[in-house]
Amino acid sequence: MNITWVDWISISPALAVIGAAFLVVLVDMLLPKDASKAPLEIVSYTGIGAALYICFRRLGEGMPPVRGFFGSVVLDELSVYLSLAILAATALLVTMSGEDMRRRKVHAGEFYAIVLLAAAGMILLVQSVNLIMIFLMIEILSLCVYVLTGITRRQPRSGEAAMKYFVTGAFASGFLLYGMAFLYGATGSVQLAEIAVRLREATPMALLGMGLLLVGFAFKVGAVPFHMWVPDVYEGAPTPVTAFMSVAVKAAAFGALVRVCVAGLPAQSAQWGGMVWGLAAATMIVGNLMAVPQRSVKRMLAYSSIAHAGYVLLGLAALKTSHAAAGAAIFYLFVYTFMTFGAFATLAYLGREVSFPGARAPEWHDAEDLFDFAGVARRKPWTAAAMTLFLLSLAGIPPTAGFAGKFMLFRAAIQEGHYVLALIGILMSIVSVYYYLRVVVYMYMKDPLEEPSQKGDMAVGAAVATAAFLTILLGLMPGTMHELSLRAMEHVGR
Amino acid sequence: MADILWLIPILPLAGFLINGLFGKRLPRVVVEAIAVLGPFASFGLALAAFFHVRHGGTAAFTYFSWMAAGEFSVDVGLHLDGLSAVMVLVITGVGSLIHLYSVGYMHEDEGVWRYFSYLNLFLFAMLVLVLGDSLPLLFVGWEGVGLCSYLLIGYLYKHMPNAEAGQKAFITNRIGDLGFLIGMFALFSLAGTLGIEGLRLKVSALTLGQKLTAGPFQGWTAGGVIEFATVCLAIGAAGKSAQIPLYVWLPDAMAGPTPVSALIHAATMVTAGIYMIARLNFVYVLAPAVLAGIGIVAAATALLAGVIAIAQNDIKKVLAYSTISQLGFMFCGMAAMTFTAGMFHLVTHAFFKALLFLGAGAIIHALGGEQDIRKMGGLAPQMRWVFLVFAIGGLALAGCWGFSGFYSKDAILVGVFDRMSRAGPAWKLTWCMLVVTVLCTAFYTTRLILLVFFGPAGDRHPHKTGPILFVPLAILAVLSAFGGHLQEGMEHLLKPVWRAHASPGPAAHHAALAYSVGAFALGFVGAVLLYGPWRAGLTRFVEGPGRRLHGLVANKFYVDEIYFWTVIAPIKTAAAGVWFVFDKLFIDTLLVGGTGRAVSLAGGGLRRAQAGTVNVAAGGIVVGVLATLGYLLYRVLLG
Repeated sequence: MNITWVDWISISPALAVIGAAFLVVLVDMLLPKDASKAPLEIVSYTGIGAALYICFRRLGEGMPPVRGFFGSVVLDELSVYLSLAILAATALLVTMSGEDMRRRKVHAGEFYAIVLLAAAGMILLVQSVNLIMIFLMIEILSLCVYVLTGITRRQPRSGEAAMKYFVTGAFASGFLLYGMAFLYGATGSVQLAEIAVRLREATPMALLGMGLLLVGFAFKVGAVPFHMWVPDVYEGAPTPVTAFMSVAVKAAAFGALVRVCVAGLPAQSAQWGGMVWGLAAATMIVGNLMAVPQRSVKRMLAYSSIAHAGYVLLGLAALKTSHAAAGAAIFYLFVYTFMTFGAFATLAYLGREVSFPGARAPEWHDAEDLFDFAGVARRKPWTAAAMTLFLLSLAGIPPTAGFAGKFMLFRAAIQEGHYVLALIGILMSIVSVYYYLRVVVYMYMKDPLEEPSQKGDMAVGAAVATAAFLTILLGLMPGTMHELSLRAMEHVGR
Repeated sequence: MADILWLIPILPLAGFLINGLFGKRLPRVVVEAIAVLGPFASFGLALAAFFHVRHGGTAAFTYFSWMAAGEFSVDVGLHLDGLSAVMVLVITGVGSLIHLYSVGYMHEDEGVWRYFSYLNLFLFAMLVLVLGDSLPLLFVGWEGVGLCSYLLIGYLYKHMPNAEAGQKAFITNRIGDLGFLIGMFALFSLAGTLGIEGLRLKVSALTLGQKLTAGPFQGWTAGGVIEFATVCLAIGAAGKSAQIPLYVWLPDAMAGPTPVSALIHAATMVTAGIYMIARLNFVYVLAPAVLAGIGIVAAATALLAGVIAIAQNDIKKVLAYSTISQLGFMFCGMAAMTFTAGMFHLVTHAFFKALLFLGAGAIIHALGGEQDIRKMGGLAPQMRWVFLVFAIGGLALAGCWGFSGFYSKDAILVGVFDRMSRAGPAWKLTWCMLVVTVLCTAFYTTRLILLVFFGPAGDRHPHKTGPILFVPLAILAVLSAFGGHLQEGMEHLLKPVWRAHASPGPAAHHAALAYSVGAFALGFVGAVLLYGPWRAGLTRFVEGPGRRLHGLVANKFYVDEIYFWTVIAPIKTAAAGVWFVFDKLFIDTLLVGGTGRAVSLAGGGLRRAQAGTVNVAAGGIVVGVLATLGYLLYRVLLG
C-alpha cells in the first residue's frame, strides 16, 4: 500500500490551494507589520490559479476519473465542475478582500490562510467517495467557516453568529456521524461504491442511517426545516464571508450530497427521493415566503439563498429517474454562485464608515437596510445597474443567467414528471419577484439619503463587475457549462 | 436583408448603452441626438425590410445557439415576415416620433439621459419581441418591455404613487407570465420544439383526437393540450395587453411621463399580447372554443373599460381606459379569426392613441401640469392647432366615418358578425357588447373633447406649443385621418402569414356598417346633449338620483378594492403568517420562552436572545429529524 504519484494527482487542485495557504502564513510572518498585504494576495491567486488551471485541463472530453488514496477520493467531472464554482467564489473573495478586510480591522494573513484552507476542504469534499473522508472534509470546511464568520472579533454580532453557527453545526455533525455509523453497521463498509453493492435490500438500520445522513446534509445546505441558523449567521457574518459561504459551502455540500445519493444509495432512490422531494417543496415555499416581510436586504438575501437551495433540491428530487434534472441542478448551482456572490458583494461595495459618539474609531457598516439603497441609481448608476442585474437574475428574468438556470431546471423537472414541484418552483419564483423588486424600487425610485456617499473600494467593485459579467455571459451563452453539468452527472458513480 | 436584420434592434440598444453608461457626463444635445437617431435609423431599416417582404417573402437568420440540452435547443435568431414587418414599422415609426416629442416635452428634466436610455432599451426589447424566431426569445422581449415599462412609470419617482404603480404593473404582468410559461411548456411537450417555424410544422401535422402516450399530458388528446396551452397563453396575453382580469395595472401606469404613456401604454407594449396570438395563429385556429371564450372576455373588457371611461375626470385616465377598451376590440378581431382586422386596428390605434396621448401631453404641458378635465374647458380658441389634431384623434377613436379608426373597427365588427352567423350563440353576446362599446366610445370621446375644448374658458394663459412638440402631432394626425386607406395593403401583406382566414360575406359588411354608424351617432348625440350647453341638467342627475350609479362607475366598479381583498391581502397574510409561525410563535414562545425561562431560573448569565436562537435552530433540526424518521418508518411499513 504505497502512495504513488497518481494519488497526488488525484488531489492536485486541493494541494495547490493548501500549498498557497501555508505560503500565506509564512509570507505574512516575513512581511513587516505595516507593509502592504499585496504579496499575500499574489500568493493566494497563484494557488487558486494553479488549481483552476488543473480543473480546466480536466474539463476536456473523455478524461478518465483519477482515483487516489485507496479509493477514497476521485478527480472526476462532477468534482472538477463544482471545484470551478468553489475556486471562482474563492478568487472573487480574495479579489475583494484587500482593502475591505483592513477596513473591517481583520488580520489579512490569517484571513487568507483560512479562506484557502476552507476552499481546499470544499474541493476535497466534492471529490470524496468515502464516508470517513466526507465527514472529515465537512468538518474541516465547517471549522474554517466558523472562524471566518467570527473573524471581525470586535463586532459582537459577528462573534454571536459564529457561536450560533458552531453550536448548531456541531449538533448537525452529530447526526451526520450517527448516520454514517448506522450505514457502516448495515453494510460493513465506508466506501460509497461498496455500500451501493451491499445495500441491494434496504434494512431498517440502513434506512435510519440514510435518513440521519440526509439530515446532516440538509443542515449544511440550509434546507427547511434545518435552515434556522442561516438568516442569523448570514446576517451576522462579515458580508464578504457571507457571500463566500452562501455559494461555496452550498456548492460543496450539494456535491457531496449528490455523490452519496448517486454513488452510494442508488437502490434506495425511492426513499431518499421522497425525502428530498419534501425538503425541496418546504424549502422553496418557506424560503420565499419568509423573504417577503424582511426589511434588511442582507437578511432577505439570506432567505433567498435558502429558497435557491430549494430549487437545487428540486433537481435532486428528480434524480431517481434520469440525470437531466440533476445536471440542471448542478448548472443552477454554478449560475447561483455568481449572482448571489455579486449581490452580497454589492452590499459591501455600498458600505460606509460610521462614527458613533463615544467610539474610538469609526466602524464599517455594509449597506444592509432597504434605506441604504435609496437613490443609489442617482449616486452610482453602474452599481445600481449591477445590483439590478443580480436581483433580476435571482428572480429568473431573461436574459440573465438565473433565467437560463431556472428554465433548464424546470424544463427537466417537467420532462421527468415532477409537475407539482415544478409548479411550486415557478409559483414561488413569481412570489420572489416581489421582494427582489423592492430593492430595485428603492434604488431607482426613492430619493438618496442626506449623508454624503463614500467612494466604493475599487477591488470590491472589480469583484462585483466580474460577477455581473459572468451573470450576463452565462445568461446569453449557457450552452457549454450546461452541457458539462449534464455530462458530469451522467458519469458520476461510474 | 437577412444579414442586416440584427441592426434594427441593435441600434436602439447601442443608444441605451451609450446614454445609460455615459449619459451623465455627456452634454444634453448629444444625449438627445443619440437617443433620437437610433430609432430613426431603425425606422429606415424597417422600411427596407418592409420592401423586402411586401409580396409575401420572409427573411430569417440564426445567430448563435442559446441553450441546448440533448435534442432540445433554442437558437437566437430573427425572423421577418409580413406580420413582424408591420409591427417593426409601427414600433420604430411611432417610437421615433415619440422620441422626438420627448426632446421637447422633457426639456426641463435634468436627468433626461436616464429617461432616454430606458426609452431606447424599451424599443430594443419590443423589437426583440416581434422579431424573435422562438418563444423563449419572444419571452426575453416580453420581460424586457415589462421591465422598461416599470422603470419608466417610476421615472418621476418623487411622487411615491408612481413607484407603487410600477410595482403593480410588474406584478400583474408576472401573473400573466406564469400563464405564458406554462403555455410555452405545454406547447413544448407537444411539439418538442420552441422555434416558431418548427412549432408551425409540428402543430399542423398533429391529429387532434390522438391520445398522447407519454410526457406530462399522458392520456390527454392533442387537441386538449392545444386548448390548455392556448388558454394559458391567453392569460399571458391578458396580462400584457390589459384584459379582464389583469387590466388593473394599466390605468395606474399613467403615472409615468405622458410620452411614455403614449409609446408603451397605448401604442406598442400593450399590443404584445395581440401580437403573440397573431404570431401563434396556427395554434389558435385549432382551438375555436378557446377563441370564442377569448372573444367574450375581450368584449366584456371592452365594454367595462368603455363604461368606466365615461365617468373618469383625469384626461390620461380616460385615455387609459379607452386603450383597454380598444385592446378588447383587437382581441375580438383575433378571436373571430379575422387576424388582419385585428392587426389593422392595432396599427390605426397606435396612430390615433399616440396622437391623443401626445395631444393630451401638449395640453397638460400648456396648463402647467393640470390633468383634471373639469378644470379645463374653452381651450379651443386658445390652442387652435392642438384642438384640431386632438379632434382628429378623437374622431378616429370614436370611429367616425372617414377616419382610420372607423375602418379598422368596422373590419372587426364584420368579422364578429360573420362569426356570429356561423358559429352560434356565444358570439351573439360578444357582438352585442361590442356594439354597445362603440356607443360608449363615441360618448366618452365626445364628452372629453367638449369638456376640454368647449364651454367657458377659465382665467388662464396656456403656454405655446413649440414646433418640436407639434411636428410629431401633425404627422400622427395625418396618419390617424387617412390610415384607413392602408387596409388593402395590409390584407396583401398579411395574407401569407395566416394559416386559416375568415372571409366574411356582404351581409356582415352591411350589418356592421349600419350598427357601427348608428351606435356612433347615438353616442355622439348623447354626449353633445349632456355635455353641450345644457350640462347643468347632468350635474343635477349626478348629484341627485344618479349619485349611486355614478359613484359605482367613477370608482371603476371597485375592482381594485376587490383584488386587494381577495388576492393581495391573502398573500400578504400568508407571508406574515409563515413569518409569525416560524419566527414568533415557534421561536419566541415555544423555544425561547421555554428555555429562556429555564435559563433565567437557573440564574445563568446567558442572554435570552442568544440562548434562544441556538435552541431554535436545534429545535428545527429535531422537528426535521422526527419528520424524516416518521417518513422513513412510513416507507418501511409500506414495504
